Amino acid sequence: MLYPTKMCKVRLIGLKSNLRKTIESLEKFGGAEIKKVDASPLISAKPFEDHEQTVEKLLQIEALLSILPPGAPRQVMSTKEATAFLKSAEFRSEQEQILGIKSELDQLDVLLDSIKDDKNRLRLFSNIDMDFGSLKSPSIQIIAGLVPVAKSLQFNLELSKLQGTTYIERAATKSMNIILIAAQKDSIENIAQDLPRFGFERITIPAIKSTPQKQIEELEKNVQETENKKNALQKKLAAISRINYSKIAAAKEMLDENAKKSSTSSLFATTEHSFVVEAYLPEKNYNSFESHMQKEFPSKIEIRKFTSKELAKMHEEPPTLLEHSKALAPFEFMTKFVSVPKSTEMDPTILFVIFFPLFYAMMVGDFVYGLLSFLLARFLLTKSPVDSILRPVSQIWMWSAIPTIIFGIIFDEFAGMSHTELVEKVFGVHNFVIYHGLERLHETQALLTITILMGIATMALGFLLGFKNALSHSKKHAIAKLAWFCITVFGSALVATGMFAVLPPITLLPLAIIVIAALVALLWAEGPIALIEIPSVVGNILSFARILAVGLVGVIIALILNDLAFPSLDKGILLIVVLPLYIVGHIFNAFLAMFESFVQGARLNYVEFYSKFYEGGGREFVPFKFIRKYIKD
Amino acid sequence: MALLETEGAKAIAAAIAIFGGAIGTGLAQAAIGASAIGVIGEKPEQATKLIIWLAIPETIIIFGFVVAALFIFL
Repeated sequence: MLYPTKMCKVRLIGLKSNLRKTIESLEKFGGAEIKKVDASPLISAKPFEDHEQTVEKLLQIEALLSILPPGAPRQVMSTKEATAFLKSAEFRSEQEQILGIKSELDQLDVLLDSIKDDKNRLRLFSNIDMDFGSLKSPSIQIIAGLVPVAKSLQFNLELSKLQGTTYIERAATKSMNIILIAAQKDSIENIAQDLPRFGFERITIPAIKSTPQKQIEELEKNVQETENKKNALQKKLAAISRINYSKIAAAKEMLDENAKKSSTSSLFATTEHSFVVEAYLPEKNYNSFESHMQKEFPSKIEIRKFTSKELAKMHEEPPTLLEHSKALAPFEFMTKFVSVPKSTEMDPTILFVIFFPLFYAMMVGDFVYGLLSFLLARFLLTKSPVDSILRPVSQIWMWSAIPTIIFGIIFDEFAGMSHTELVEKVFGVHNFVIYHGLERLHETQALLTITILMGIATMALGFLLGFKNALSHSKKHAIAKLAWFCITVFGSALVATGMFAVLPPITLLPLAIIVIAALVALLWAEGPIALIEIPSVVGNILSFARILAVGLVGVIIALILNDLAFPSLDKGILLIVVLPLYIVGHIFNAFLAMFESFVQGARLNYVEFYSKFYEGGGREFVPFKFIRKYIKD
Repeated sequence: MALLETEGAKAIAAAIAIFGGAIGTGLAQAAIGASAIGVIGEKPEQATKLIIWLAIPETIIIFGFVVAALFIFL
């Protein structure tokens, strides 16, 4: 639980003729990650001969699946059935039909776009109730254009000065008017050249043979007919999908697998007749792996095991496999969120499980808000999809709501009121006291001390874990971590005793000696530059005061809401206004507290705590195994 | 003058401590927030991680809070 699963490496040497079968056996075992072998003068194996053909078919199938609407009930096929389906005349005919329908749909889309463009152009003329078919004349030419409404008056004045012209003006859009100007053919272009300085923007008169309004109605009928044709084609596609989607999806899955297996061969190094491949797998599964491969290739494969200790000696970093129970899976997500741990270092997931809910609970620290947290998280959990980020987040939130409720009781906070105030305001019973809680607003000094002590304890634990991590690879680094631990714990005790007489004065000398010894050890291990880190450790400890600071923000806002709302609740009509505002105010405060506590709680873990021992930068173990939805073996 | 009385002076000092921390945090988070939005515009999946990064400069205001608390209580 505290460390990732121990990994080993295996090296397989076999006959080149068995390369394909080896890949299939490795996939069948499903618990090994294949590693690329770089070993000159060996060369990487090439993809299988049918790789190009497989990829080409895969692309065709993917195109078909992208056209078909999903939704057919899932049917599982065997690989043989999928292969037979791909070769069948039924598939070829369905493929032609689907592509044909798609082509028709695309043409209808182009037609619809064109009709909509025409409609938009005609709308500008929709207020002109003239038959455009009668606008043609041998001697008169008509031009059309748009003029801003603001410049219309000036434009009309200028037009009226021109001799031999006539015009009509109608509203085109909210800000533009449309003007049709008729003049003699030999003078119209001169007139048109002069008009733009008055804001005239010339447009083409549509070549229609009726009024614009009638043409628009005609176009709307065309749109409707086209939409109906599209719907009919889409229903056809849906019918094809109901029968064939599963089969095509199964074929795609099979081809996808074949393509990946084929490209996996490039991870193998080969000579003329043999291959070499390496893979990582959990050390505990080695025996089952060995018996699986010996069963598949009796006496035809050589397996060499490299244990986790040997890998460490070779400074080789295997991938990391974190194995946790289902309950801890959402917290594993938070570990991987920042960085996957190296396979040899500590897995901080269990630490996150302990510390994050504690920090979150102390920051929110309200019974009612804790209950709201729990219900909201539960609701989100039921609504969030299986592979969404919301799922682990809402599980962690739900888990953290429980200590929040407990801290709400400890701090005696129920939506910002103590239990005495709550009973008085809700039931009218005065002086109902069960206990005296650690009220955050009144015990600020004590709580500040507690949060600083939490900071010291967390830092100390971080350095101890760093010491344990470092022991396996660097004694000097381990001594440095121990020195930091002593400086943090004994240095804090020294400062506290010197300033606040926390311990008897007689302890000052021994504490000072320990701190000086730790500083000397630190200087030896890390050099003088390590002294620059001391203020940052002090800063990290003080950073834990945010647990109180964030909590106080929530308390004070709740207090203000209660002080504003409750005096108004018995004032009749004000109740209708005040009560909803009160509820909304508390919900807003609860969200603020929850969000801020979540972010700050995560930050305290990742930045202040993990930086003392956690390196990260590992690579997640990805076994060579396909997840099948439509194919069975 | 009231301004020079101990309680008043402590309150002003505490306010200055919080003010300084808030300014520092605000300036830092403004820069980080602007960069984070730029990243999210190209890689929306990084949004959740960036919210944590946005919270990092809040240590400055916490220092201000601690100093203010020391002024009030000591």
